[in-house]
Amino acid sequence: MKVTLLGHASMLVEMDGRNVLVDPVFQDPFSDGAVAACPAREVYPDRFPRLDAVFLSHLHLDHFDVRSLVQLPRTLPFLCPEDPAIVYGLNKLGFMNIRMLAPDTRVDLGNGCELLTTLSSTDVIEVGVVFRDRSGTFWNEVDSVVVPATIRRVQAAMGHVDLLFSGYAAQNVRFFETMRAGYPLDIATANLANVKMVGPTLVVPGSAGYRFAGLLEWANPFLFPVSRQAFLEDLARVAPEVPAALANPGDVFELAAGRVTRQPAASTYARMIEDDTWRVAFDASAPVPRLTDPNPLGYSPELIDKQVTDCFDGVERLVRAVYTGDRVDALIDGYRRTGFSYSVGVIYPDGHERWLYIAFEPAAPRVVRATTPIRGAIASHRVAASMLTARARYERGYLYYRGFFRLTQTFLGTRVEAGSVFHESDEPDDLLGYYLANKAPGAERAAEARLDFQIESLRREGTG
Amino acid sequence: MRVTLLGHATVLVEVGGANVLIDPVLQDPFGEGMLVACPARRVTGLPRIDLIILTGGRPDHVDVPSLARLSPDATVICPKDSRILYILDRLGFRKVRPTEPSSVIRIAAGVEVVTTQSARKAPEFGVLVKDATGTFWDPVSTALSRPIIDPVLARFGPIDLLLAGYAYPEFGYFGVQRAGFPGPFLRAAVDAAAHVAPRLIVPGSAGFRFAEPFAWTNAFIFPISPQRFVADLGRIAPALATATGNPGDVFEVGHGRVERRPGASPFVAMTADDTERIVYDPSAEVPALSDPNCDGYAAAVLEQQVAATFAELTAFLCTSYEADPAIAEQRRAGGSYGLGVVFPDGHERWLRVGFDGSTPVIAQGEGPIRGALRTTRIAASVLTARARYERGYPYPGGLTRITRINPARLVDGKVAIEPKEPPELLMHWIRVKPPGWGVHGKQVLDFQIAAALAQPSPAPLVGGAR
Repeated sequence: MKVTLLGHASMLVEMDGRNVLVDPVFQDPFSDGAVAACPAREVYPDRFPRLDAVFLSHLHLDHFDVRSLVQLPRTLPFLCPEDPAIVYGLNKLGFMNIRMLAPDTRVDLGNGCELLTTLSSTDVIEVGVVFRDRSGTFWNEVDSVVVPATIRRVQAAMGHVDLLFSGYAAQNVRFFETMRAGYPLDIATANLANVKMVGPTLVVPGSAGYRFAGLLEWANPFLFPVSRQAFLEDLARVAPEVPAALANPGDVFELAAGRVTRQPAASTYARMIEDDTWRVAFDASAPVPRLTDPNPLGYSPELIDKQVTDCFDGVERLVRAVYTGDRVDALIDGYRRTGFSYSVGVIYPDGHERWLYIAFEPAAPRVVRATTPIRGAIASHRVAASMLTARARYERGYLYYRGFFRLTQTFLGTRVEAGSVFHESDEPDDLLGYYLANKAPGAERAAEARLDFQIESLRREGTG
Repeated sequence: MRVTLLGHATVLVEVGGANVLIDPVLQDPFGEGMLVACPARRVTGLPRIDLIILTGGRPDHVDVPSLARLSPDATVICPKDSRILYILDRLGFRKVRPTEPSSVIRIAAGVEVVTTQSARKAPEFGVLVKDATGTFWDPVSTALSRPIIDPVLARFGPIDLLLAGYAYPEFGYFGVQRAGFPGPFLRAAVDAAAHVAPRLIVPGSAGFRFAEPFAWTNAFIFPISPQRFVADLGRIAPALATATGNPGDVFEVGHGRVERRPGASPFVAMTADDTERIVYDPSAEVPALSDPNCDGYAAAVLEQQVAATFAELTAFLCTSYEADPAIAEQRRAGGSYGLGVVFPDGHERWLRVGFDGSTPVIAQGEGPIRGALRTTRIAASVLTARARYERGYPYPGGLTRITRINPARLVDGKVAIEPKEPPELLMHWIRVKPPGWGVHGKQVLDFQIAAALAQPSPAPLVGGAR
């Protein structure tokens, strides 16, 4: 088996007569332009060998890239997790040969080749994947959240793992929201413990081979607390028995006779342009820019203002409907019970602001709108107007959007009932985020709408 | 009894013919030039001061330039803190009474001053003043708990006026950029105020902001506003009366009531309610680390001091690698420590130490520090001021930034990442450098005292001036 890293999470797996492309992303930037492969790379899809299948791990845009998928023959069979939106997108692109796989599904690829989907212990619809042919076994965790029980199942089904592409980055994904430069110690710990438990012949820090690009570049020093190098150094301390190596785009890993050899820059399908991973070096001392609205999609002021108004109206309608009993909503009930207050501050491209403030008083919500900041809310959501517009219209995904909003949460959760003081244990969800994801018009088919927009944009580019 | 707020934590109590001044900070900026009272105020004069009470050793409570303006004939009550005692001695105060918490001092006929305890282990106390007109309690910076409150209420209660502690200056934010909202602190503060249940609660102390070039930090480090505290208190104890207090406000305690007279003081005037400057907003901008060189060191002095500090640190690591407890913690953590110094013209120098071997692996270079797990970046002038013992804590705030990742270890066969970081190495060296902090700490104070005494005398404070 030969495994070629094409960059970020994209790879080509060449087994005995069976070639499978994984999460194809061929050009940079990707994911709405939010990110680019890091190390920087070039991919030459026209030099690929005959492909037998494409494996998609999940729908996130750094794994499901419309621009790359349209370059593939429409007759290719696809293997993907049980996410109807993936099937929708693939169908719309003209791919009809699609097989949805539950976690723990074995697929016989013929010629002694097979794959196994692995469980991800998270609410994202995604899987990892284990490939096996006569030369050995390769587990690509991709973005899946792996727990010990999953490792035991994989080992029971597939035996010893020769090559492991493991999660390593412990990405501080909450940084954008909270501006706190910490990192998830539990994930960092689990990533290392998992490698030790799997005990592969060779481990490679996999996936998360990207950096933020363009308008989001400032966030790179905060988002990748555990570098590839730091992960290897940690592994040397806690699992010295497991050989480890870095993978750069264009590197090939060959499994043969129970051994794994790394062949740096051996691929003819992809090459590393530059090892620019210094761009993602963790540095909590880095500057953070003021939140502004660069209006990257070039929306008109009228369009933005209408969308903001619609959004304010929609949130207010939802809240009032819960108070009148016309709608049932646990989040808003919780706000009311705890005497919560919430504000949204929208910043326009020209610098002016619009604010919505809601105090969840016992009898009725007190709603204030203003064009200057409304202070004193327990939680506050500040967002660039054009990006609120893009999110509400399903024209940008979350990975991009998150660079343009900031949350302030000062929830205390103290309430008095029958003369006694109670403390809530959890912070409630963010109201605007909850509204956009669940209650806004069209939210139930948001994934499909985003795919429609991407495919439509691609068509327009093609004809223009 | 008349209680006047003079700005930040400074309070004047006129009681039984005696005038008591708590934590005098009488001009802005203070705290080594970093802090300004907020709301803004101007102290125009003072009555004769009979008693000065210093409640703790922090520089925003023991302000050398302000003490230097007061008559050294006043009696001073303070915690048994060698730093405070040294300052008072150098400034010529002769009637100094180091005092334990829970002491009762009769200052005039029928007037008692009580030093109240803190739940924190620090040389600090609160102040309670009681006479026939009523009882005023100012816990200042002390942490209150029910076991501390209950005996006070039993012996001196009920309380008429409470200056309630509410603020949580989030100095933890500096550098690491990972502070969160101090919910548990706010719960405890609200609970304490409700439990005291005085006639009137006024959020007290903590009325300051950072001055330039540190003003950007104001958005991050005052997560709890007086309004927020009062609102939360109102939710759990709606029957209690609350009011906010500004500099110049007078509270008259007597006849079973507390009367607030905004702006009534002849001694101090609020010049602007500029609390808008300290609204909590963690979404605010964080500027790139640069060196404003506030103390105006010459470029050659900075270069020389940084080179000397790198050399000293290197020698310290080599000679004390086995013996020093902080180095031992760095070694136990493993990985590496990096020190990056940013000069006023933007260039940078770094020192990096690897702790994985039996001897330290030390490298130096030019440009941004890279490749260390634990990194301190600091402005060259701040390093210089600290290394020359011309500035004390918390002077580097905002000009020192720390990045910390802890390496993983095997503990009982299990992978573990220790959440606690080893002590910061540069600051550790500055503390332990021979002849030791006992001498160097005094050096910092001497520098401040010399600077305060060298100042041309500002307008005399009526009755209380030297």
